[in-house]
Parts: sequence; structure tokens; C-alpha cells
Amino acid sequence: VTVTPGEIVALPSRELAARVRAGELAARDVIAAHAGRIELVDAQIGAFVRTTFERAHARAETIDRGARTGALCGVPFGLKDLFVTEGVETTAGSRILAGWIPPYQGGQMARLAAAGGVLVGKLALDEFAMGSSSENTPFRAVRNPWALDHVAGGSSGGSAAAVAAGMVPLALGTDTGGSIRQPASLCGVVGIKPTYGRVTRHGMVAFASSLDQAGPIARDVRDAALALGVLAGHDPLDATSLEVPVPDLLAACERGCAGLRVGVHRRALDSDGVDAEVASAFAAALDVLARGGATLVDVELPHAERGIACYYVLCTAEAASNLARYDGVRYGARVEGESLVATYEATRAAGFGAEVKRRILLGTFVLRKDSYAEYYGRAQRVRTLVARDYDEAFARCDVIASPTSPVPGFRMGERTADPLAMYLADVFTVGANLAGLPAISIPCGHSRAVASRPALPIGLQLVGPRLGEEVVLAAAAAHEDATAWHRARPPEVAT
Amino acid sequence: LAAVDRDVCLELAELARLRLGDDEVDALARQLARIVGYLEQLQQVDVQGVPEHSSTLSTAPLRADRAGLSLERARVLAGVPDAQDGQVRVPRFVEE
Repeated sequence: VTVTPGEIVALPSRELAARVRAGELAARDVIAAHAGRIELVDAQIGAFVRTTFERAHARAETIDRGARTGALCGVPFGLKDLFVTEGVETTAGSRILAGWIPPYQGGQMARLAAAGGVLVGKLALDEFAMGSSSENTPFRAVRNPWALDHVAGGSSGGSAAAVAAGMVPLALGTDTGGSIRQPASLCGVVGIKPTYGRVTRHGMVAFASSLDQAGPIARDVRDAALALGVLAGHDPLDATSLEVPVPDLLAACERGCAGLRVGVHRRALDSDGVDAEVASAFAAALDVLARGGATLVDVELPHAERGIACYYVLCTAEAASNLARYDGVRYGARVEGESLVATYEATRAAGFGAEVKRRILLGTFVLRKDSYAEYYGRAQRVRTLVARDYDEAFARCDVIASPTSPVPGFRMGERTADPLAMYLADVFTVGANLAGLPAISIPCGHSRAVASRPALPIGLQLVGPRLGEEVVLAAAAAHEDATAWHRARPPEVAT
Repeated sequence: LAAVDRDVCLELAELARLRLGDDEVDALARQLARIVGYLEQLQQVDVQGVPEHSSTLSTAPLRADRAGLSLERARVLAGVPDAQDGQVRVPRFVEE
């Protein structure tokens, strides 16, 4: 039976892997089909910052010659360019790392490759993952496959757009305050941020170390579960990696949602920042879960409204500290000055973009002696309160549901002049990072096309208790099994 | 509470080793002042007796302190902007 390239790029990861393992599909045909798709559509979208087709073809040949094993056998994937890849340029979306060829393999790349996955390229992002639209970049901004004049979200915008446009069935993103879930929502795909410590951070360029977590973006919940199962597990090279067993995440997808208690923080939905179509798609998603046998319960997260302020104090403080290492001495580009300090200053001035500079300065402000107690110290205490709110809510429910993003999307350039407006995009997502909890975004609707706005995907977020990936996936898969949103494909980039 | 103005912005830039252009300073100071104004809402939260967050700190025991090769010197230096004789080369940092 001949399978056409168009049929291949429509298959989920688990189906591709099963067919390659069984010898029904050649890995080289799988890679060729996806490379062809990338060459056909990425000029419109800008998801990839570089492709690695030559290496990918060589890997596929090796698989076809006999290494037909692994959960991701022959599955092409893309990595956000925040993930270190040995021998493949890694820039974190910044000029300051331009030309840097990592001398070691990152933990995420190593695990995906060991499971038979094949890297086909590195994906675009906001510089150092700082942004919510993938427009903070010295390179090319990413376009939303559903509406090319709209943003793909961020900071893992390239990852979400590549999956949405059928260029890869699987991509990795990173999520510090919503950077997997928000672009997944805006692009109509599935993205999961695991429990803090579930997936190694070894080989992930650090932005805010107490919040950063890697996770998969895929077209459906089971593919995300499959990839998370590959990525999860203790790594001695990350001191915050948890030594806990990894459950069977694919099996968790078959549990259904009967008997689950789904918590809803109603007060957050009443804020005027929530788009009416997002609110009605969210209400419909709750109905789907209720019809599946879930019980809806009201919960309170009293400090949720302080989440954005708390998050931006802490993430900028950690960023200011983490990004001190880019000094023109150790990696990437250097702008030579007349002294060492002048070299640092000139290199960082030329190497960092506007948003990165803003965050470094803000982080320096909240950490300096005069403001430390009232900003950084206080935000650390508020973070404790946010985490306690979730603990108390999870005494009454199994998962907490909300929209992922308060709006379906926004136009390119619409928020770039107003950093604070961009920060507010993260209102529903930062809580899970502050509390270290697992959270998923799945497609749950589309806005109607009107004169002022095209039809855009809308996402449902489900947050679980610490190490509760199974219950999150069970609820997400139950919603997916009862709906067809995940099967919709963007019309403008269809084959 | 401390506020951000042009002078504070320049002081922060010096602490962070960022050289700002004249054209950047005013815009950054304005934006930072607005963002810090938003962050001031944290002062309204009652944090009396609440400890600082700690659950994301590592609780793993430290590994044994054994010497070993992690990365070869030549491979590390291949990514360094300027290296010479197996060492990183930097501009002068001690005055004569």
C-alpha cells in the first residue's frame, strides 16, 4: 500500500512510530514528507529558525537499516531553539548567542532521540523565551497558521505554529509563565506543562529557573501524553529533577472523566479582560466534561489576581541573574571594548533586544538593596500564598478548569508597544508555574469570523495537583474524545 | 517605595552591565516606571507570618564530590569568542 506524503503528515506520532516499527512505513519517507511540508508552508509562517534535514535523513536511514525501536521511532520533531542541541546552532532567539554550537547534548534532545525521534529543526521563539507573541526577536516573528496577520502566541510560538500547520506532529516548548499553553491555545493545538521537576531542565537555556519547565506540543492529547512519557523521569544532571516514578500516561488518557470533580474559579471569569467568545467556548467545554460524568465545583483562588505581579517580579529577578552569564567571554558573540567591563557592556548592549533589557533592568530593580524586601522578598511570600490557594482548592476538586488565554488571539504588532498589556496575556497561566503544578491547554472552540477578526482557536486549560499529570490527561482526553476541535486544520495553509 | 526615573534606570543599567543609548534611556525609564507601578499592588497583600516560597528548591542530596571529566577543554573552547593556548582570552582588566 502506498502512503502519500499528504497522508503521512496527517498521522499522529504514535501511529507513525507504530508503522515505522512494524516496517509498514520507511522512516526516510516520513522525514521526506515532513521536510516537504516544511519547505512548502514555512515561508508563510516562520516557525523554523533552522532545519536539520541532512542529519534527519541520515538518522532515518539508520532507523530503516534496522534500529526500528522506541516509542517515537521515526517521528520527526522540532525543538524550540531554547533547547541545547550538540553540534546544531542554538541561539535562544538572541543575537548574543548567534553562532553558538553547543559542545554537549541537552537532556531533552537526548531522550527524544533515544526513543527513536528525529530532529528536523529548531523553532522560533521570543528572545530567551521572554514574551507572549513570538515577536520579541531579532529574527522573524512567527505568524499564526489560522490567520497570518495574527500572532502565534509565545514564547513557544514556533513550536505551536509548526504543529498546527502540519510541519511536525511533535514539538517541544518551554513554559515559564504560560509559554507552552498560550501558543498552543492560540494555534489550536495541545500543549502540556508538567509538574516542576517532572522533566529535566538540563540542556534548556535558563530564563527563570524556579519556574521553567519543558513540555510537548502535539495535535492531540494522546500524542502529548506519549511524548511526555518519553521526556519525564529523574535526571541526575538537574538538581531540581524529581526522583519519582513515571506513570503510564497513555493509559491515563483512557480513564474518562466520570466522577472527576472539576473546579472553576468563577470570579476570575468575570473580569472584563475575558473575551465573550472565550467565555462561551469555556462554558461549552465545561458542559462537555459534565456530560462525561464530571461534577463542577466552585473553588476560590483568592491570590490569583496578584499572580501576574508576583510572577513578573520573580521571573525578572531570576532572569537578571541567569543572563549575567552572557558577557562576551564564554559563548556566542563578543563586541570588543577597551576594557573587560566595557566589553561586557558593549556585548550585552548589542546582543540583547529591548524586552530582554527591560526584564534584566526590572529584575535588577527588584533585587537591589533598596527594593529587595518590598519587591522580591514580598513576591516570594505571595508565591507561597498562591501555592496554598491551590492546595486548598485541590482538597475540593481534582482539576481546575479555566480558559488558557483571555482572548482568542491578537494581531501582529498590536501589543508590542505596550509591554504591560503583553504581560497581562499570562493571567490564567502563571499560577501553575508559581505553584509548580501540571497544566494542559487543549482546543475547545473557535471564535466566529467577523469583520474585525477572523475565526481563531480558543483553548481550555486544566490544572492538576502536583504530580497529577494523569488526572489532567484523563480529563483532557475525555473532552477531546467528545469533541472535534483537535481535528480542525488551519484553512490558509492546508495542502 | 522606590520609583524608577531616568537616574535610577542608568544606575540599574550600570549594575546589570548594560550600556544604554541616550535614545533608549527615556523610553525604558517610562516603561519601567509603568510596570513597577503595576507591581506595587503586591504591597496590598497581607504577608504577615508567611514564609518565602521554597518548594521548587532542590531537596536532592548532593552527589559525591569526585573529580572527573565532564567536558573536554578543546570542545568548550571551540564555542568561546576568543581563546589562546587552551585559555579564554579577555581584554585588559587590571590597570597598569
